[in-house]
Amino acid sequence: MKLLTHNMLTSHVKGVTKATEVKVTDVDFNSEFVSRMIPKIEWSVLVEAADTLGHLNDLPRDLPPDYESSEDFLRKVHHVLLEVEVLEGNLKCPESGREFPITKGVPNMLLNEDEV
Amino acid sequence: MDCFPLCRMENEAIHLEKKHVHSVYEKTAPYLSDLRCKAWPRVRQFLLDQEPGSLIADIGCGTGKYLDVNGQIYNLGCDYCSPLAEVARKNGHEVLVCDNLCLPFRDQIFNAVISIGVIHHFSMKERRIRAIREMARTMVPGGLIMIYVWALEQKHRRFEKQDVFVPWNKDSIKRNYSNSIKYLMLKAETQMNKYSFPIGKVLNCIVHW
Repeated sequence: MKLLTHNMLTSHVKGVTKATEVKVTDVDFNSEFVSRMIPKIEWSVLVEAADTLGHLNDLPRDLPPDYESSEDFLRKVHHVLLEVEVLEGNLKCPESGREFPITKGVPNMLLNEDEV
Repeated sequence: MDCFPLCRMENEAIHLEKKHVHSVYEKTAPYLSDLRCKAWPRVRQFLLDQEPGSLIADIGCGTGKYLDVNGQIYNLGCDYCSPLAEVARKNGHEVLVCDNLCLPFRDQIFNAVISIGVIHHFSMKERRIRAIREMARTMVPGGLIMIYVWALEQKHRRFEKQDVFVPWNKDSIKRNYSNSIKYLMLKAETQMNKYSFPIGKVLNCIVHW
């Protein structure tokens, strides 16, 4: 599960409580692609998730106003959004405490019959 | 999450879908990955027409054949069937396992959504509408959904009624499988237009399989 995918999830399940296996891959950088993604991102969620996984590095906690013009910044965002993947771990809903497993990189968001 | 079954009828519908759709896909998932299914041209074109940097969801993505059509967009696949999602993941795609009726995504996040060969597996009208509304919820205003379903109206064959079992094409898989899967044939012209959604009108009607 990439952190871009994680960022699209509802507020119910944003937390990544435990990641027992994280992988870093190489993904081709496309500055325009990253620029266009940034307005869709919940920035604080991305920062917190990256931090939990130990991949925050020097990504700023606040989005700089002129981000489109900084390739250096865009590359950092690219790395965190697309190159860091949780292979094994759990997503935890902060309200209910319900945990959703991530297995072989695939989060399972199905609720059990008694939960629906 | 606010996803509650309506009544006893819906519990029966859920049971039907579990028995005749989900369990069939789970059993046949390993063989589906052997089929070199082609991406349909109109779906391909729809995806290629999306602006670079768009966020697109394929709800009911199966083995993920549409997830690498356009490398300029972020393609996210979802399927109810874990074995199928696993195949898609092995093919290098970003996927999650979830329920079309209860998508785990925030509101107004996707620029476009595709639903190819999915809606006809819901055995109650209310569930089909809910599935479409749920997809609409996740879309930015002005975004487009492309929905493909089996149509009752077909050029080369007749279906006696809407609610039918259709056997797998045994020639296209190596093993002698006698599974059949349940489809609800939607009357393309009349039914889809009758579903009124606050988000917009049906732009085009579904074509046959």
